[in-house]
Amino acid sequence: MKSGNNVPDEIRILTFCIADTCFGADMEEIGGMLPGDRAADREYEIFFFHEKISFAGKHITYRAPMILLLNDSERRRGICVDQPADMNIVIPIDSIRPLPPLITSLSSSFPLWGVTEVNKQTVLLIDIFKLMDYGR
Amino acid sequence: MTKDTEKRKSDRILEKIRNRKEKNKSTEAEEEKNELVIFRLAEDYYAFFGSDINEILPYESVTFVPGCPEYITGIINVRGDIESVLDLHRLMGLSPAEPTKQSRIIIGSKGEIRSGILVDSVEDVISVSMSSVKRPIATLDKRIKDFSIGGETIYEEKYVSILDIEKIFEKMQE
Repeated sequence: MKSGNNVPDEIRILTFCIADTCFGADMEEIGGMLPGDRAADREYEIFFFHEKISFAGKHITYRAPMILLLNDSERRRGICVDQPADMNIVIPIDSIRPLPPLITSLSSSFPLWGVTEVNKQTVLLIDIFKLMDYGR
Repeated sequence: MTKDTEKRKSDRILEKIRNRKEKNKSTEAEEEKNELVIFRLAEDYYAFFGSDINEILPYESVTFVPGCPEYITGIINVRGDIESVLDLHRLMGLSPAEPTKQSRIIIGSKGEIRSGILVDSVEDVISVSMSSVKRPIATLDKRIKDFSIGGETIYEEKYVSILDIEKIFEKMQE
């Protein structure tokens, strides 16, 4: 569903939680999924989510790890997250709020870009492509 | 002694006294008054200018945002607007403190920047004249001095350092 200027009216996201924080990734960025035990697979360049962005010293555990493969025609790479909670959740663009300026001003390449609510829970929207290139 | 048209010395003195009193009165009326929001961090009292404060909220669960410096506790949703929450304990290098029932989130703004600021409690909102704001003691902790307006006042026999919300926001953007 597209409107003028190529900005969609809604996006479909996949949600997952890490260290009690819920994240949402645009389904268009995800080309597939692999079970977590394939993390050592040399066919793909794979990172754990917390290796790419700092959780301020929190201890991170993945109860049911799953690898999200990027929809990237140039490189075969993926990011390991905890078991996705939901897929294909439709989020109207109007319901997305930007992150506060004190957070967005931290870095122009900051991979978190918005906030929405799913089932009364705050979900941080993350650009997985930016995350893969983000330095801790 | 004097002509009738000339005022008597006593009258002139009285007139001068009255004039002085009137002048004092108008000076008092013109003296700038400011509201201060007084809050506590650990055992010490601090204040922000009321004009920089939008509202004071009870502590609520803060959503952690990874990738932020440790003095950004996370975000909260205030009637649909997402606000960052700063931890002054960490920003000012004080020992970290767990939020309690008395904890409050002060929503402050300066220019384009708006954010929540987590404090241990809000004690009072008072009105003070700027003449009662004194220069801080020379030995004031540098960590506080960095965020101070360079003045302090007294509240319930305790020194209150007045902090500059703009300096806090500037520090965050360094």
